[in-house]
Amino acid sequence: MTRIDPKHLSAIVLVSVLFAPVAIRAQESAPATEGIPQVETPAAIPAESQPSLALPGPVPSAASAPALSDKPAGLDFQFFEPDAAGAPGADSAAKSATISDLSKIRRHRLETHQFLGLTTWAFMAASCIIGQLNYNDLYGGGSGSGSYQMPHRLLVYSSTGLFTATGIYALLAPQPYKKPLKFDTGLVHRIAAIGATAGMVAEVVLGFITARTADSGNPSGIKSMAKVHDAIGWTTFGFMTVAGTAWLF
Amino acid sequence: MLNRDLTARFSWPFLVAMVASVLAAPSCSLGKPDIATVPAHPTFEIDIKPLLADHCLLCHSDPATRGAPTSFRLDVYTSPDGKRAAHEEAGRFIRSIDDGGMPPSALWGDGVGPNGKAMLHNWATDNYPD
Repeated sequence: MTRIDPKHLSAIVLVSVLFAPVAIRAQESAPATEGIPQVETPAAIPAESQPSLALPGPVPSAASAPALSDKPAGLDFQFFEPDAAGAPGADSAAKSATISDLSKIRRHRLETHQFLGLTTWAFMAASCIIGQLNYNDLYGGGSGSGSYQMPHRLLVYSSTGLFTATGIYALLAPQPYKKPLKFDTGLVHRIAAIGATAGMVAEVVLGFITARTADSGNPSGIKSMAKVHDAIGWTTFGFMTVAGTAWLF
Repeated sequence: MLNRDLTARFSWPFLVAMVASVLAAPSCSLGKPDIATVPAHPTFEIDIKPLLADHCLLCHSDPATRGAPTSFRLDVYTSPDGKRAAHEEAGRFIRSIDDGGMPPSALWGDGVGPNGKAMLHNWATDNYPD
């Protein structure tokens, strides 16, 4: 049987993780630059609230309209984007099209992120439950059948893969317009997601070290490592639960 | 502003650190180190049993754990309970160690080291003394 060198496998995973976002970004930026002059994304105007930017007729120039780029989004917006370039109609239409395209991409990526996130949460719940049974079996006294080891292993591989995919979809969702930082469900979601990410990294590393140490027959400190791994697993699941429920309220 | 630039600025180093941590883990040696010197005439109690304790007895003791077979144990030279023990299993487990099949993490380079293997061969040459 051909054995795959784990270092080669790791290198492939690394390259895939690092280059996938670059490829997706290149894909998303291609149509936006085709025949459209490079413009800066409007800072304060959401796509939905930009009515008739391509309307014919006189458009206020930059000199007659105050710049809004340093103001947060809200109800205080201007219908006609000031433009210093001298071709307000075409530029406004291009901006509008760009924002509209980016909004569609964002919606699609975040919907996928949501679906993957809920799936990850379910897998993580199963991983924690089976992991707890595994811990009780191996370290709770008695002979320890080891019957939960493989199910736990398969579940954590799946959860880790799903979690990574979920995170990548969120990070690659374009942001057509800026939003002010405030304490809302979005911020709670982000904080919980960062906590869950830190927990997942710790879980992968510690779980790997625990399993490898056990597989090498080395008993030193293995129960303590397993206990910490168990506790971090439940904490990570807690962060995921907070991140998921933040959108419900 | 918690915008895309800010997110990207902090998320990429974080992602790189995550991947680096995961990649660093396999390169660490997590088994016990190899023995320093090779005894010419090792015995089970003095030389072999400590080596087995470092690499095998977590599972192949009594009771067997982590799904190991219950038909034999390696923590004793001859078993008082009728199970096969280290003396009877010696040829099989030395072959398994040589093949890299045991311990399971030998696949990752955490198996018995060259000195440990040499000592097992010396023990076999002397016909597995107690």
